[in-house]
Amino acid sequence: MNLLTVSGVSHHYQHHGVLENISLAINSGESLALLGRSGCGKSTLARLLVGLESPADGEIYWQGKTLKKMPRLMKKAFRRDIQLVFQDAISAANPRKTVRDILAEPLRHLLNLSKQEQQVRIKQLMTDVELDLSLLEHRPPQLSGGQLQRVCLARALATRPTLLILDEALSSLDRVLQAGVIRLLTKLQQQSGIACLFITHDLRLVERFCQRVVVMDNGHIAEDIAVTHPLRFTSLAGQVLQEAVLPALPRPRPERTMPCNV
Amino acid sequence: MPSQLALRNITLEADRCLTENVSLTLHRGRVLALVGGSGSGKSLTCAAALGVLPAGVHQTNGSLQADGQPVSPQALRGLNVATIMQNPRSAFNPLHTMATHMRETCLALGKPADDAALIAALTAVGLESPERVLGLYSFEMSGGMLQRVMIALALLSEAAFIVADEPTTDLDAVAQARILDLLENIMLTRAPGMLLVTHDMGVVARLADDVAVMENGKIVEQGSVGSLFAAPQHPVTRQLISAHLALYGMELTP
Repeated sequence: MNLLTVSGVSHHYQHHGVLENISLAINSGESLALLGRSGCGKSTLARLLVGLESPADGEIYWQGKTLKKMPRLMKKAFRRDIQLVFQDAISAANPRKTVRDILAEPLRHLLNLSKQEQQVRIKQLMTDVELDLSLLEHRPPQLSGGQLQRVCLARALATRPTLLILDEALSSLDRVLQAGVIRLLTKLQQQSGIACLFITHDLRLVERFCQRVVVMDNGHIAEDIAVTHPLRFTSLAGQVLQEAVLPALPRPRPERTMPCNV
Repeated sequence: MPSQLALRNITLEADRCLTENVSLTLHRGRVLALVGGSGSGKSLTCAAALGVLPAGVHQTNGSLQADGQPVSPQALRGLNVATIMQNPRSAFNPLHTMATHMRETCLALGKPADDAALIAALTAVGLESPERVLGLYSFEMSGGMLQRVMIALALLSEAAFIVADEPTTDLDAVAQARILDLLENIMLTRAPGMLLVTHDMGVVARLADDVAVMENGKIVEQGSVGSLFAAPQHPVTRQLISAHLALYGMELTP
């Protein structure tokens, strides 16, 4: 089933074109990667997809309705259904609120839960993202970057969305935490069929977690292919990113100099 | 020029103990990677080697030795030890052009600061149209370009040792790969001793000869990159390697 449809979308800031004629369909339950170098327009597309900005040209449809003309109640359902986790966790969390308040916010505004049900859900979310419950009374400046990013992930999962958009949201986590979040998302996908849009420049995450990859280059979609092992890109932009993948294991290299003995 | 630079039993304290008896040895021509989770003390260890500890942090034990002789970090910094910092965006003064930054370094080192020398330095790090780059401000450049200028500044001193603290962390995958190619090339042509601080085992696999693993202010394991990837011993190392290999769909053999 089709979750979101992007149709002929172009966007610009001042007179600088950022996106040009983007068309894309996101299906329920799928893991889709949006891959591209810095400045290619990935994050702008994410902002358009969740309705933070309206495209200069073209339309984005959710359940057959364009985001531009959506009735108020439907807009609420849309916000419950599509959630975004930003790259920069520090600027995405109010430093004056406690973690408990941050997680309660989407529950209060977007769901009809009793106070008790909210607290149960908050505890469940903390457990899901492997955070200690003692952190609930902490405020963002008291958390590490990795902890705060997981709070933001928990906040996005609070409303049980059908599409989760992760805008480089794993880049700031170390590998051990990254692996934990990927395990959690895989589990959620099996349990509830949540769809994920992974915005990244790291091909290794794409190969592990995604079924389809859309390569962006300079505001265009360069290609849209299924993830195979190994990946076979036909676009130059995709191939350049593939060549840039770091090795898994050290390669034997010519001995540079012998280490000196102390 | 010393051929070996050693940190011996560096202990740093603030309100609590931050690093304890950290010993590392850099050899010319080899890359030593210092890895570990955030807050494990990697960057503080670098700061101790450079003599730039933040306010409130005191070194209560240990010394820096060049070829076995005790030296002060201040005597080496900038001349024998050059630095490549993590965030090129905030490392440059936004009010000055790249040419001004480079001339400042040249003057401090007593080297010629004419345009030809600067252009040669920029060409050496693979920057296209170096004449244009000289006139640019940091906000007019990409992260990858800025990091190349930072490396050019580090190379101007022809230092025997380079401390590179997360040199590619803020770059996209393609810019990262190109900077790592450049560092590899510098190792082959100039053969400095490099201390490479990183949290990405892919960077370690790409560039390092030796690895030291840090946790809670202590070095918990040290060895050649081959042995560390093939047979990690300490639980922290095993966790780092297995999380890294999982990204490639591989598993750590027990």
